[in-house]
Amino acid sequence: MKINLKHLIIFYLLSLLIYSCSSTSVNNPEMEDILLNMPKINPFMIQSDSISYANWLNRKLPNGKNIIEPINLILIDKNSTNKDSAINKLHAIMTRIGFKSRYGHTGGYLGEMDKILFEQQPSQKDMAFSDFMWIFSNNHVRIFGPYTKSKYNYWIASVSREKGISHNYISFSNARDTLVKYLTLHSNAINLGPYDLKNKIDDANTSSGDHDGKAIIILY
Amino acid sequence: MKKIFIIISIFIITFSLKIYSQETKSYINIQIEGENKAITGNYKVEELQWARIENPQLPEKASIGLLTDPPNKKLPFDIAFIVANMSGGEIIEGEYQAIKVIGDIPQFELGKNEGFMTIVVNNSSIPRNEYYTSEGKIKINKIEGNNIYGEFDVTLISANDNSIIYAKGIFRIVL
Repeated sequence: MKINLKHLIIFYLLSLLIYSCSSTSVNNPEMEDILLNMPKINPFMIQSDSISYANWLNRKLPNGKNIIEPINLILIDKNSTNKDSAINKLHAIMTRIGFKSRYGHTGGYLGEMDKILFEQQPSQKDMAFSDFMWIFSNNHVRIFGPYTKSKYNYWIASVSREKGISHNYISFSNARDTLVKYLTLHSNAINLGPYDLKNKIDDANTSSGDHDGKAIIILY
Repeated sequence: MKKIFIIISIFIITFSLKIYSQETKSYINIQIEGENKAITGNYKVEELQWARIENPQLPEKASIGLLTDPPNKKLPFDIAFIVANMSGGEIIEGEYQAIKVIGDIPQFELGKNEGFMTIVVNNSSIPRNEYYTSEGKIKINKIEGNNIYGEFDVTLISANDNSIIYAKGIFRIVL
């Protein structure tokens, strides 16, 4: 078979098409912009005293270690133009995906980005976003922000799963992955993949449980 | 002869293990009637875990509850209930008044024996349809070693659409 100019043009166009399709997730300019502006995140949830890290009400893991509660989710709101609209949009999306603001969880925690402390959403006493009432084993999340940087509103969050009634720790990873699944399934949010916060802890006294050290970035 | 003996032994061991495993499981036998046809019927719920409220201000055994965990994929609903001795003592045999739950907050009153039940319909719709007790009784008939036997007859109302269902049945909690 002779290769002529026509074949070369078709080959070039096909290559261009394949490249443009495959590069949307890897070389997304928006992703580059998000990462460029990513704040320096304190990788653990902070207690209301703004000094100590949250430790699951001082309860221990079955191996006797203290629990430290990691940041394992980063939410990025690209449209809200002020704090109130960002908060309203956050509550709307969480309600839509089945994680409404629910009673039965300790609250008032803090999150830190670029050395600035941010209050928890939901902000009401004894509340967190959760998929089931506290009598059932549930996934729940406390979210901190918004921190507006460049054109983005950054939120950081700690997602966990607890046993119903007793509120004992079950998992960080399963809870995060479940929430990410619901966000991408029931809203227009996009999973941009993991961001290494290097907050997997397992020393002699303290553990971040089954957390893998990474936060998933969600864009909405 | 030896082979027959081995076969009979295996049969006896297997059968005994089966009986033993049945005896160590918590269960709820429940009949649901009312306005939500998706969950009406008779069910045996077996994938259950028990738990107590862990609160420094309450005695360790002041409450006991049972919940489907992990979420039940075989039944059209998940169920949980709890009873509590609000006098500060341990759980005892007797009746526990079913109380209302408003905004996920059970309306417990100090000094009473009370409890509540929640039924969540399992389907893909969000928000999930959640039922909470509005009235009725949960009764602990017998506490015997690690076993708690009881019954219930309660009315539940949906927080989403105000539909009403009626649930009655028996339970066994194996601690």
